[in-house]
Amino acid sequence: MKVIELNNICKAFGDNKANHNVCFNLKKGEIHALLGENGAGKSTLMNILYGLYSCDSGDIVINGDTVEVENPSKAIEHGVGMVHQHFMLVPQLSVTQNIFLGMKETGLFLKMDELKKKVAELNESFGFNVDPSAVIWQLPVGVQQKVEILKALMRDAKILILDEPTAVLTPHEVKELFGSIKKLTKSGYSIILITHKMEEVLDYCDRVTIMREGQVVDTLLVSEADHDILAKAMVGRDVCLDRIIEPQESGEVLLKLEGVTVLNDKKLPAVKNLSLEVARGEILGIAGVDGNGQLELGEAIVGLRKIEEGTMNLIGQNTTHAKPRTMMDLGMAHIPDDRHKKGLVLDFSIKENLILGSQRDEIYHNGLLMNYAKVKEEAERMVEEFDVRPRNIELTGAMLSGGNQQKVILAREVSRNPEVLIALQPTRGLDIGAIEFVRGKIIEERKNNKAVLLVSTDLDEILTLSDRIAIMYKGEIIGIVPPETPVEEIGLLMGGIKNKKPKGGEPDESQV
Amino acid sequence: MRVRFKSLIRPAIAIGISLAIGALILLVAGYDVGKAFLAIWNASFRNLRTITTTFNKASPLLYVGLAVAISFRGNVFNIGAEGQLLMGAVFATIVGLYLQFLPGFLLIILMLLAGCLGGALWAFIPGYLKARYDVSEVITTIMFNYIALNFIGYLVRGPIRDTTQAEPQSFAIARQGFLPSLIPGTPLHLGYLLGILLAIGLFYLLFKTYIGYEVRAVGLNKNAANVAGVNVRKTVVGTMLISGALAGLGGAIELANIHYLLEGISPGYGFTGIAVAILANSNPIGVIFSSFLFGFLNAGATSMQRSAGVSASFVQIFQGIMIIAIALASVNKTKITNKIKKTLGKDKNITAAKEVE
Ligand SMILES: Nc1ncnc2c1ncn2[C@@H]1O[C@H](COP(=O)(O)OP(=O)(O)OP(=O)(O)O)[C@@H](O)[C@H]1O
Ligand SMILES: [Mg+2]
Repeated sequence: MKVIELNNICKAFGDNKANHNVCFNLKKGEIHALLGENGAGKSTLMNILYGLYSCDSGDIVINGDTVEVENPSKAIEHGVGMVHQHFMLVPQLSVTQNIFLGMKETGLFLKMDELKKKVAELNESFGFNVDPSAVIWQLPVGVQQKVEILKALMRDAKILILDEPTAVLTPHEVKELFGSIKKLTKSGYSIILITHKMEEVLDYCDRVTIMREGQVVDTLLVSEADHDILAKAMVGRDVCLDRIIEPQESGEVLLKLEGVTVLNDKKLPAVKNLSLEVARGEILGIAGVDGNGQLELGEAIVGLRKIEEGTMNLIGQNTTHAKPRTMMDLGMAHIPDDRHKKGLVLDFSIKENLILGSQRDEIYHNGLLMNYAKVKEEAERMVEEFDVRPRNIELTGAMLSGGNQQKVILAREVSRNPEVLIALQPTRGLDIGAIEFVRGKIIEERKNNKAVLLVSTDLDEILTLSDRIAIMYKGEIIGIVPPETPVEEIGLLMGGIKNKKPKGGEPDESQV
Repeated sequence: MRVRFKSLIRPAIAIGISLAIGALILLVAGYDVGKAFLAIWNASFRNLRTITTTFNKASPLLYVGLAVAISFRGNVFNIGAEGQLLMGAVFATIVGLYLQFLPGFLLIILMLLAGCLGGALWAFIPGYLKARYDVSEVITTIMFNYIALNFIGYLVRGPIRDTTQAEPQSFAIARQGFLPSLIPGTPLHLGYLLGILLAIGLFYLLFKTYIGYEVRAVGLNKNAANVAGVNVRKTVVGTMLISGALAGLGGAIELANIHYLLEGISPGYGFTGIAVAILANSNPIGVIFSSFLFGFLNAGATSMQRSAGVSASFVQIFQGIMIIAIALASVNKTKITNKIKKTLGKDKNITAAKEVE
């Protein structure tokens, strides 16, 4: 039985045909993957189904009835819930408050205890493990993700749209999430899953629809598909994500941390007495399960978080208490982990976003006045070189697909020609073609004898790119290993177990 | 540039809609709409004298409008333009009273600079508190309005009171400190021209310099600006300083225009300035027009009362409608398209959408 049919959906933004005659259907109880390059039109299609955009033409059929979905409340009325690519939670409110926000059922006077109980019940039945009274901003993204799903479930959505739900999750969290999703489908829920990760499609989904440039390429049974078929259908060529870096001598140390301690937002130590070095011509990968202090470490290095104890040196300068500006002037570039909050000014044009942080560089101004002709020229070059689609630098950042937003940030930071590149989750949310591209750029930096610090919760990425892998556990570097180390061993280290002595002495001596 | 001009379309629609609603209200209330509107029109456009009077009335609105506009661009809600304007007037008064020996042009320049200083000072404190301690500028600037107002009350009743006058007011400033007319014999003064120039300058500052780039970046996403190495605190304080200086300058010019300080020197210009900035979509060039529009309406209020019997306060109702209309005009276009589709029925929906686009 088909719970959703989308027939000949068209949607254009100006000249950009984001969806063109798209047909899609969803069967009851299935997990249907929607696969496609960055900017292929996946989010747009789902936003149309969810009532956030109106389509130019086409029909939406839900449970056999042709319906008009004018806004999300209509969608919810029809039992459709959506979890967005970028979360829509109120950080200052608790889990329960967020879940019930905007629901009429709460009545005028909130009975917090009762609501909390409801959340707990829902938690139980689908194996979510969320504290109903926790405040959102203090939660790891994995848990926030679950809150988003609970929000939809609480509104009685029987059809769930998940837009790249695993982009920010750790492998363990991913497993848990799919466990819950399987449970949901068994109880008659139907799921549309947008993802860039082939394994998820192959391991967990029933059918897959592939989109390219606003059109549907094909819909397949997952049992009939494999990795290569999908990759090819998606990007139209073969993609290689294998390790391709050549051995190379590393040079002098550019970034050096000694005994650094950093606090998290709750004012608890997130990084404890940590030391590390990154040298010219090498990529140091920081692996670890999300929430073990990698993020705080990254923020401290770029000057966004205070270093409580210890010292940091960047290219021979003491930068322990330096501001982001100083770090940048000394030659550091930074790809932040959250593109909406930290990476982009969404209401700025792409052109303006591409010079954020470089606005005072000499080439971009004469005296006080900006040289917008030069800005435009450089922006056009970057958009071309980094394949930002569409190639229109006057669009605002908000008008780009998630993956293309990431490319804008990458373009900006790499074009700054830094000595040290700090990349935090650089390929999160990118399609495989784009991942290949971004990794290529990072390897290029290494080849050009720059120092790269890569923080990623994606172990594959770390293994593919790093010269050395530092594993963080509870704020400490529990071991530094070469990339040939067996994955099982690294896995154990990520879990805090270091009984097997890695080659090269005590793991605690983290300066190698 | 095309984008900038586009941002002026919305206010134009809003004004059109509010004109219609205003007319409707007058009609329902049984007034002669034509007569009332004509009275407002004539109050400004009858002759050279009336039109220059309107420019004169628009002058302080132009300054506070610019002050509020730049603060909005930097996402600082400066509700204190009123207080900053008053402090600007106070500082200018003091210069005008105590530096009587200076020649005209020097005195005027000093008065204007003092006005900038007074306003900037009054804005600095809330700005600093916001930047450093995250104290809401909305609250502090409102409070500072009252302090400034009461400070003037004290001055004109005590230290600088002109005892020959029945009402509490200060002595007149030195004669050579009076603002010269642009067109002799009319109330259009030099300050208005300066205001226009400043509006153009501010437009350039906001959209053509890296300082304005940083102000807007901080205004739109201060986290991302901070990550990119922009000094957010400095930018916030700087925005407030410019905003306050503009309002204070407006106060100084108003003072040099009416020649003495009194409690009622501003009939709430600072608050009207918020509406002026909103109507202009915080675009400095737009502020030139929106401040003129508000000045024009205010200038016509009394004459409308006289000739059409409509209470002068109607003008304020009208200004209120205009603000609501502009808020409505910014509602998501797709929502409206949707509604139209629905009413026209499914077959025609493609053409309907095209028409609205
Ligand atoms: N609000 C908007 N205004 C203008 N163009 C838009 C808007 N939203 C999306 N687009 C454009 O529509 C196209 C499809 O974008 P969409 O967000 O659907 O891609 P996506 O498949 O979800 O990609 P990603 O994997 O990167 O999230 C892109 O070219 C994008 O630039
Ligand atoms: Mg998307």
